[in-house]
Amino acid sequence: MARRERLTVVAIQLGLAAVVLAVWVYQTRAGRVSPILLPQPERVLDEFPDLVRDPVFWGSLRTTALELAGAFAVAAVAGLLVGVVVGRWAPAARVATPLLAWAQTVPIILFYPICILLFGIGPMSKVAFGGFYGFFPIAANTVLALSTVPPRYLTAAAALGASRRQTVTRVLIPAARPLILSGVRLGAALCLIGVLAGELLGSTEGLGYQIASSSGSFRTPELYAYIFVALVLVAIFNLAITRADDRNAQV
Amino acid sequence: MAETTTAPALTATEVTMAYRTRRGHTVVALDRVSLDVRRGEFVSLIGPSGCGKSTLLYILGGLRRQTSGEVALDGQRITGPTPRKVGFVFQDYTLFPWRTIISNVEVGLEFRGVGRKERREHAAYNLDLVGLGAFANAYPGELSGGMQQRVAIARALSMDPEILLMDEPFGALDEQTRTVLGEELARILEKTGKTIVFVTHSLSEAVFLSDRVVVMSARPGRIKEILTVAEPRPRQPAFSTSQSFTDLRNGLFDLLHEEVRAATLAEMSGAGIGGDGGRRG
Ligand SMILES: Nc1ncnc2c1ncn2[C@@H]1O[C@H](COP(=O)(O)OP(=O)(O)OP(=O)(O)O)[C@@H](O)[C@H]1O
Ligand SMILES: [Mg+2]
Repeated sequence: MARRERLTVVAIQLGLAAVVLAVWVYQTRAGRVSPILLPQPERVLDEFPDLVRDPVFWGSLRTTALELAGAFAVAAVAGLLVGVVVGRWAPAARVATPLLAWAQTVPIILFYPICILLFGIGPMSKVAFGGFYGFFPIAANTVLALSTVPPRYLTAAAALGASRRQTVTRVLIPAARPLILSGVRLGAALCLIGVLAGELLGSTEGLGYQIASSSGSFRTPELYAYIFVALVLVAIFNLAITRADDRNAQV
Repeated sequence: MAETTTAPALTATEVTMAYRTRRGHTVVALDRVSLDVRRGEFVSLIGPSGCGKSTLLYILGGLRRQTSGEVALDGQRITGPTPRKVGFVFQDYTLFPWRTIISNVEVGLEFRGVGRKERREHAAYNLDLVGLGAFANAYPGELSGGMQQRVAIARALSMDPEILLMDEPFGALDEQTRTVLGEELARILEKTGKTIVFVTHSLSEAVFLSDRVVVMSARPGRIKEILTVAEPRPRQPAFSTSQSFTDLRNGLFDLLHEEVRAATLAEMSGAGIGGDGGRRG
């Protein structure tokens, strides 16, 4: 029953994709849209054999993937660390909670030029910027998760003889876990945005750089091919995060 | 139980508790409450909602600090929880929702450092005792409120404490189940000789189970009267239909009725719906 429902959903999604593709083919065939703006689908497809033979393509993919991994590591480690300190220490919470909330309403992209000044135009500035971007939801959710653990769990733990350490590891962390993980998921998505936006705005390598440069020189089919590759990378990254998440939730 | 020794296990002396609310008001929940609970004794606390029964239990368990007065366990001042001696069943049972039922029952032994196999056996035994052996691998969210309360009882029993503080452990159960579990509890406790302080809203339950019933007044909570139930333990189901049972229950009803009426009218007039404000009395 649930299976049939899922099949229906997938069928509808495929149908929508087919419609988009049909419109794309129709519009480009009829010559209604300039190939500079929207190339024919088969032209985009033709790019891929060239790409996979091109060491520049593999280099770009590798650079972006590494930047992403670095950014996520920075965001997760710093976010969890700050989140735990702030969430467990009331004076820090009073100072930091409004700051964390405020930071989430600020377009952090504004700070990217500073990142470039500090870390140069290479991958380091993307790691720093992506990490900075992803840091806030992780820290904010960790603070929220730890400070909203129902006090009755802690009282019950005390009555059952939990030591301080046991209270943290066996009660506080499991109770806070779902909310922390949703922060991590959100942070991961923002790391992605940070890294790709960083590459688009100023870089010398990576998928974002290739996208910006093929767009700048009107190599439109290549542009579309690179965007497609970036989307695939995003999908793989998100899938990995969700997987890790589900596994954690089962424990 | 006939065998209650005279040495008090738990004593409260002039215990006062004043809560400070978030708006800065002070709520006096307990006003100079003094109570001795003897070893092996079963004492019930009964009184209107909000009169401080849970608060008293928390203080007796060392889980909350009284404003003034003293509590002692075997003559030693209580300053914090003593999980080896005192077990707790909370009014809202607070099982850990991320743990299975069996691992909720064994959690106290886990904290104590008991080996996995031993604590599992112990937990399984106590889970069977409350009739929920079949739910060992379920999660708390999959159980009804009454079942969760029984799990909380099994969790407290697993710690094998000398003293059990139970806050309305049968509160979420229907009358029938409640009676059966009450008899069951009486049987278990008889075997283990535990000392019990038991909060309840049920007059019959209080009379049926207790050696003494402590009636508390509406807030600020004071001890209004203490009734002694002389019937020897273990109590037989026949006791609950006897004349002495009915007399005790009626006496309790009268004592409590005044208090509940006072408390309810005070609350209603506080909320602006109080009518004739108790002039009819
Ligand atoms: N943490 C708290 N902060 C402020 N006031 C509190 C707190 N806990 C309890 N109170 C107040 O103290 C009074 C006694 O509460 P308590 O929970 O002990 O009552 P109770 O007799 O157990 O009631 P019930 O039968 O409804 O469980 C109540 O008026 C309550 O509002
Ligand atoms: Mg209560």
